Amino acid sequence: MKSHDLIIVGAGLAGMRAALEGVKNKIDVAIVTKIHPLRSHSCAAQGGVNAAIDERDSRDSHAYDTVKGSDYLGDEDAIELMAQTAPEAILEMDRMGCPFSRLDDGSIAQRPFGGASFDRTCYAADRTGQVMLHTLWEQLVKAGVEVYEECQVLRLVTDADKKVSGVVVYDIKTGDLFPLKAKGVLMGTGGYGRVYLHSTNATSNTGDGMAMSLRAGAPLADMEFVQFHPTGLLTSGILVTEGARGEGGYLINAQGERFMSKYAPNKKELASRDVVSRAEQTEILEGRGENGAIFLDLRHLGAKKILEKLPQIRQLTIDLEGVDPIHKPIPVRPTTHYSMGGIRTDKYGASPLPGLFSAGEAACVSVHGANRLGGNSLLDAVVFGKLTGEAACEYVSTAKQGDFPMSALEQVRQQIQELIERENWGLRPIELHARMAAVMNAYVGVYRDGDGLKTAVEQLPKLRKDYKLIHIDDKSKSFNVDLLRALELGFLIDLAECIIKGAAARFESRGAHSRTDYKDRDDENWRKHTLANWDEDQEQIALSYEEVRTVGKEAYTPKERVY
Amino acid sequence: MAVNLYTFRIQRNTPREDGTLETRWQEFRVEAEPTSTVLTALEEIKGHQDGSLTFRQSCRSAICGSCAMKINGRTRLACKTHVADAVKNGIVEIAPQANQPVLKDLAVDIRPFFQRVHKIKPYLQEGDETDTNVGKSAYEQVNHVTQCIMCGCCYSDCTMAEVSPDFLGPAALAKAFRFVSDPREGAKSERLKDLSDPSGMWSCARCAMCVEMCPKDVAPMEAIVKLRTRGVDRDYHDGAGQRHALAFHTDIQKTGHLNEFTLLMRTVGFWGTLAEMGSALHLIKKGKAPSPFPHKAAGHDELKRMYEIIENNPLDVETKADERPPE
Amino acid sequence: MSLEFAYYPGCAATQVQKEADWSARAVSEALGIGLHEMPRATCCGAVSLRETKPAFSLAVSARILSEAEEQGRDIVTICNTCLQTLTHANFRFKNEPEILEQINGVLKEAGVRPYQATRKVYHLLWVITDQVDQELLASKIVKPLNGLRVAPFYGCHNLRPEMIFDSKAGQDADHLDRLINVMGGEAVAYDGHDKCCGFHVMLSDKTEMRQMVAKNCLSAKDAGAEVMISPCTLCDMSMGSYQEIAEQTIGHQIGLPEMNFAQLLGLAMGLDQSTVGLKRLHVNPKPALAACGVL
Repeated sequence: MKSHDLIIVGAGLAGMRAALEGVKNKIDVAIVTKIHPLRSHSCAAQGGVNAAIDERDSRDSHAYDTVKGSDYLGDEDAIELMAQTAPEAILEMDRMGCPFSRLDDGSIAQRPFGGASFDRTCYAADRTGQVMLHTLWEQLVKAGVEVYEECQVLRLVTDADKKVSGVVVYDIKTGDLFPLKAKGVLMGTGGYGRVYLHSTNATSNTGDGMAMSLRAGAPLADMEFVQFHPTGLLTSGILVTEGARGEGGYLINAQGERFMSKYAPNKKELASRDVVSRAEQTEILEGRGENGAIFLDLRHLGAKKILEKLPQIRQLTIDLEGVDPIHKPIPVRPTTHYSMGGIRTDKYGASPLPGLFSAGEAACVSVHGANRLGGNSLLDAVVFGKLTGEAACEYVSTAKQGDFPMSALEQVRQQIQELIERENWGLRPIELHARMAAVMNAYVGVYRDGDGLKTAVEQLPKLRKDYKLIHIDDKSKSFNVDLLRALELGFLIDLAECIIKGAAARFESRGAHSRTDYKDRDDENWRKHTLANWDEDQEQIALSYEEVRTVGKEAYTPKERVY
Repeated sequence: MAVNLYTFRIQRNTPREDGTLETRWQEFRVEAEPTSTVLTALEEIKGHQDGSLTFRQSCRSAICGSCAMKINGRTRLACKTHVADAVKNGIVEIAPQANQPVLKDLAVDIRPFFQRVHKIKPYLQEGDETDTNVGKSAYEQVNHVTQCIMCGCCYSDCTMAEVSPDFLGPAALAKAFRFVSDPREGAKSERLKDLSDPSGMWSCARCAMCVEMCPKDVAPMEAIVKLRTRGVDRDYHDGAGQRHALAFHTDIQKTGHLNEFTLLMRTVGFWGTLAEMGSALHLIKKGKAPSPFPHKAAGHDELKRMYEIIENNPLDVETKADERPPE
Repeated sequence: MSLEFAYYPGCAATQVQKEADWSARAVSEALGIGLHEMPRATCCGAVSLRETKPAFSLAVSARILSEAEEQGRDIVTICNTCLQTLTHANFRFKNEPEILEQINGVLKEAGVRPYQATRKVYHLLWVITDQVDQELLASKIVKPLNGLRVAPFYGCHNLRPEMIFDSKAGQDADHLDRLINVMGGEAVAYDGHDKCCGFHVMLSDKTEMRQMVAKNCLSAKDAGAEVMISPCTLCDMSMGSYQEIAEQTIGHQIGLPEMNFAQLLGLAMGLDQSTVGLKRLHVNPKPALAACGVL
């Protein structure tokens, strides 16, 4: 059986950055990824990455903004670690060759972003994620890291002591299923945006790593906190960067009124994302939208600035929305964008399940708490990619390889076989997906309430039952995307349950979780992380709670968030 | 918006046990708005008509580079191409990328493409030529090429790759230029020397197909031209392509005209010329021998002066990335 | 619209592919297009000069464009590569004023009239199909092609990069197709119509160049073409003069007569064979032309 000391699942920013630590520490490390590394969704991050590299800025201020942005649910130790490490992480990317945009004197340019008290977002035009991803891939090639490309991990395997001992891998190209032993597994599998109907996310963002970790015995935290990006394109949900507002773009309603001053008198369009998305949703609900959208207006920026700073955005809106932002406002709406929740870890990315690590969007470290600030996700990925990589290397250098039960492989093989042999009646995966996603959008969206969440909870057993009825058309071995999507849908249903139940049980409004029946934040009872664990006997999740990790600084004392 | 009924004619490729492919064409009817993307239509087919239809896709927003495929004969990103722009005679014809082995339906084996990219050492190297002073203008040029998302559209439509399996191809060469043009790169000369090997930067036929087809406006051929300039500047002109290029400015200075006869001599060298004689004789047969003494253009001495002025005070006309005016 | 142009045939037409030059002049005269000599014009330097001496290359183009400007005429050429080289420089001069200023500095110092970036660069094919009255053109076709199946081979440097050209380019270009229709022929659709003729790698990548020629010709032939025409003297050299050599490389015969568009147009307009230099072609088109009644 093939084995590695450390297996990293996913080749986005977090996974690749972690792999480089493996090389540095001379660990036998390999990456398994269902898509080529350059196809990873990190590439779609547009606006930038935060770091206090300007001498007039401070790392403390970055940490403070992040704590406030998280609506006091972020773990303060992890937030401080991220803010303190950020400048080095960016300068390291720069040394690797990452082409950040420059000022005239050659220093790295920065732009304003929502919820930040300083213009601390470094960027490369409006394709920051893409250049960072390509840069890390270059380093990966240079280091000669082994990559299992287009190989889908389908199960996280543990030994008799409930310690991670490997993964079951499905080679998409050939249809072969094989075991990979490992002392440690690091999930860098990203988010689960596809659990919703409208999402800025790639179709590959199905939260596989989270779901597999949950089933293997690791807790997922704060899953009810789903970020809705204020500017997803109306028809496709494709992201329009916050950088568009950072460069001075306005949000206007159908009457042409710049409405943000009503909701966030100081920061207006650059309030944090939860605030802006709620404002938009309110405008739309109160009838001042158009076809369910409000508008991002860039016209006053002028053609030159748009072409220099937001060229890709302009092309996207022309291609996908048929609107040239130089001449017309762009129809946008709050759109599922980012999962603040994920695999629960300590500040070095270690989960409570021995041998399981996680970094990036897949993890809940938690630096984002109830609401992530724009520009902190790329940062989270590279900072904790590195730190978690280090921690995982340290772990595997002393850990013993546990047994790999072949029954795990056999179960996956049977699951695939059963799906392939299932007769063509019942539901197509896409139909069931649409039903699940519609429930999520209707009841677990920007605004939530008890009745809606109850309805959503009631849908879960039926979703699970019907999942057993879906059928696939493709019965072949090679490149069976039909089969993969059916398996991914299984992951998504697990995550939907975590989101719905976490939201239904949280009787307050905090960050991205906004309940119309519990409008206020309740620090006394609810300043705590939700943990979702898989209950094997009940075949459903069970909730528990965990305190927020605080460092006792006066400045971090929860207060009302005003932007 | 109006919904139209479109016919999609899709190449289906099914792998057989022996490793060969069975190829057939299948038609699907899809309702779509004219501004819907081809990808949306393909998803509609896969989701509701035939789940076995196989293609790659991920981001839906022209940044991950997964969904490059032949759409009406040319390689485009399905997520960026409107159905109305793809339809010809009532049909949208879809096939896998060319110049790469097909795995299944529209999915090709992307490894050979990436092997070429790996060949150019796609990472910044430390070395003697590292300049840490990174000016904004030098950076614009690097920036322009880093728009590449490695989707492979250029390689699939490259007319040289079609006849030369060894050719590095537009994307790999553009990536090479990304490093050669980066002040921080430490081994620029070594790169240029390696790129001057056969099937490297001098083998581009300059058809500009890659400039036309690149969905990210990278203009790979322009990067190749700039690589060549830098290669020649460093005196890497052993190959025929390089000498051919060099002959031009010498001739133009002398007479104002290209001397096709001496050009041939200088390009392939004396023995090369002899080897070419088969072709030369072939031309002469039809009275097409170029004159070894082309007439001089009036005022051709001006060219010599222009040349000297520029040699004495070099003008940088290529550092800046091409400015593209708004459409 | 004035049909008076500064005529820039290019090196290949004046030294090797003379039949294209003869035919261009003859059909222009018959259609009322004035082609005026440019005595000071030099070789454009092609992409090769852009590669070796980019600034000098722009200066050479500016000097050529300036001569046309002095005449008060736009340029007309019959070589795709000259068209692209001059257009590329012209495009930069029009969109990058600082480059124009720098290059004009050089011109002035060398005693050359500076260029004001007021001219356009056309292919003769475009003038004939876009600017000449199409009824007049049709009336001049006295020997129609009677359904002759003609493969239009556009080549590259009049099509790409699309954005720089002063006429419809890229995948929208249809000039040859329209001309074939006016002449009474049938334009054959085939894969290679806008691919590379390989001329610019004729010496560096010999085998590959010949494979390009063979592929393009075969794809036209397989689509039923009896004759191929091109608007470019370099394409003529590859697809016509080198076709037999390409046949040797691939090991079997192609035998597709190729000629310059102006030659076929000349014949359709009733010009005689020697005026259009028919005997200078390597693959004999006479049987095909005789069969459809043009000869």
